[in-house]
Amino acid sequence: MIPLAERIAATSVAIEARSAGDYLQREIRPRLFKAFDEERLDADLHEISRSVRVTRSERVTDAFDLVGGRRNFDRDPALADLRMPDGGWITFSAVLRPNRETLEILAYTFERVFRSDAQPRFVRFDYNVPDHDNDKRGLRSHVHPGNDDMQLPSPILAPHELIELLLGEMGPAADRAPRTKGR
Amino acid sequence: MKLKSVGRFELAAVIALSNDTGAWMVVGADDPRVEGEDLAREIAAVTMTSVEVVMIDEPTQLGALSSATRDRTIVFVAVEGAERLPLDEQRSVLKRDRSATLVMPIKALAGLATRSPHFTSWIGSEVHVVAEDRFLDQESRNSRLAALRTKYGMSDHELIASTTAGRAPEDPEIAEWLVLIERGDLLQKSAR
Amino acid sequence: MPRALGPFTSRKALCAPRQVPHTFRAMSRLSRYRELMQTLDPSGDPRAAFESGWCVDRWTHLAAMANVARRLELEPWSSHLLVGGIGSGKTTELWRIHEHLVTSADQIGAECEYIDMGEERPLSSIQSCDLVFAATKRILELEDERRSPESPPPRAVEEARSELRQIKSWYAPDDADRADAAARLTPHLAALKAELIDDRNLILLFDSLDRMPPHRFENAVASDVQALQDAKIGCVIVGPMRAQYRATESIARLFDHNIHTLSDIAPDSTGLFVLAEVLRRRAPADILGDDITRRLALGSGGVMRDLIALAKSAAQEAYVDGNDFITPVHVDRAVEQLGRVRAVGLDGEQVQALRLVRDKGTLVIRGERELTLLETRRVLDYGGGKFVVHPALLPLLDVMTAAA
Repeated sequence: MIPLAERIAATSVAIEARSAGDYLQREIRPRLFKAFDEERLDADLHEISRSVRVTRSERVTDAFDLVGGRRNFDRDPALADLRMPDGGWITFSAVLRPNRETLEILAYTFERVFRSDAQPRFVRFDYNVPDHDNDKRGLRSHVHPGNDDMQLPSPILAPHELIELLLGEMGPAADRAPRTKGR
Repeated sequence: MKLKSVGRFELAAVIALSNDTGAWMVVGADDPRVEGEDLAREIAAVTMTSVEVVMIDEPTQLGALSSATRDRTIVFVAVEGAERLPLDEQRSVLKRDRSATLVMPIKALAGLATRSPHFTSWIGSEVHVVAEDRFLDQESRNSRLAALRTKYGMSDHELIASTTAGRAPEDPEIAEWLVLIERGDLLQKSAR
Repeated sequence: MPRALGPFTSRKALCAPRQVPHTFRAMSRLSRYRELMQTLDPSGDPRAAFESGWCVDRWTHLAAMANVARRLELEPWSSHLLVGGIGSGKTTELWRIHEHLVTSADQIGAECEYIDMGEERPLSSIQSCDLVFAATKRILELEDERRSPESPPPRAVEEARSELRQIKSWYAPDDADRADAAARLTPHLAALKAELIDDRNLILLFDSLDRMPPHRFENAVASDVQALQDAKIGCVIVGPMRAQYRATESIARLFDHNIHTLSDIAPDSTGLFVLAEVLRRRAPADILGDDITRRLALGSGGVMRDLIALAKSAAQEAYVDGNDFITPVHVDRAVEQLGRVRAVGLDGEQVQALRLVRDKGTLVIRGERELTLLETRRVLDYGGGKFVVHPALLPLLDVMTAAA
């Protein structure tokens, strides 16, 4: 049987974009813009423009950062740039590298913080740098369900897919009622 | 007196908002040809439609080119003849159904209000200089680095040393950090 | 033989009038701003705006326009020159005159056609005979439309068409020859008019000649106006702004002193009321409050198109900010943007002249420099010797003076 780590690694995808600027322009900012227009994102266009950027590299083949919002390790609301209507926010940072006509995903961290009394308080998708330990356990790509110490395996997603996910309801399909079981 | 620059993304968003009214906007850029292509891609991305770039090689063609493309979102680029565009004279035939953005050299903007006051008034003074807005500036880069150094209690040198020795944390923030200090080469190829 | 006359529509296609909702409350934020982009469009079709009821009737305060209409009622064959600054609302007033004449058509027995000379010919090469040419063409089109397909064209029509063809084929760059051509078409004009509308009156509204080289205006229209008068066709011609300040005796006589100035709206209480009303018809209070309309009115200097443009620009700022409505900050940014665009390219001498207008409250029109400042809307003329620097430009004067 194919080990978990391998099965998860197989979910990685080559992104169809030529460069950092191209990816930002075509796949990243338009999703935030659409969420802005549909009032699913409270941040305004200045904030999207200012805080969602890529690094410019010396060579076109170099790895680059794609960032969304300032670094905010302490989850300080004052540093939240991409605020959401529920009082929470999103932050993200991804490292990608151009490879021929596509982009390779090297690492990322995408976090959605919910409003202060929400359960869970946040959700974060991480894709670590390669490491023997977490690779073996199949946890190089994992999700934190509101707990920085708890890690659950997750498929590898593309940054634009993660943004789409985090900007959405993350609930059941529209025609299904939400279900909260137990206490 | 200089015009303020506006980021390309914001300009595109404003153009998108008026797309269905056939509004005109004039944009100044250092390299109008390159900017025209960039702006067209940006507008296409936010409107989710296709946007063509049309070169105006002969200034008097302006009206005819606009009429021929009036129902499509277009970015017009004028370089050498920009100061000779018959904007006022041909104003009557510049009415459109979808927006048009006219990109020209920045220096050509200087005479617009004097040379073509009718056109400038007609477009409601939508004249802007476009600024590149996709790349992280030095200040943001620095503040991210400061936050990373504090969080991990390491200097950039220590980070490089521990990464080379295979001892660095596996957090994705480490990858971001390495790229910020231009040592993305230390990132191994993705594991398979 | 009198023909049944249907409802009269001018050649320009009728754009669908647009109803503006009295509140945007039920609309999504994006829809609100999209709607505003439609109603606050400075390049929008003045006729559509007029038909949508967005234009405020200024005739009770604006003697000039009421005078044109009244004169045309009494003398439907009179010729009038209409001048006014860029964006003062000349085209809108032409459509109001058109409506006035058309609705009173039965009483005064007149019909009216709007002709945009900017669509007829490149404005830089307008010469004598072009107005008569355009008039003849239009009358022929209308006559053709109204005649039933079975009836052959009347002789007058055939003769006019052939004369028209001849003139087109020998292009005469010499003004004297073209003046002659205008005179040759004149008898046909009168006959055509009769063919079209029997003994009723015809009034033609010629727009856009304010955008032709001003020093060529008089030569271009002199023989044509004469020809129209001879054919007993009334006209209102929009001419270059500087005819207000540099009207020659010959122009005055040509138009029988019917020179009407459409001025901008001075920001007194009546003026501000009118300007606020113009905006209110295009946007409800829940997105554009009364304090905002007033702020916009002050920033526009009473220039109609600048008012609309500022409102649009402020709306864009509010949209980018993710706001549900427009705030004073947005208006201020819009006014500054307008000011900057108008300021770009001004040289030291022009800035000096503007400072003088600011300090003295008036402008002595000595020559080209002053005329250019007026024509390019850096200086506004409220009439009665009162000149002001455009309010959007005013705050930038000191900054520019310091640099210049």
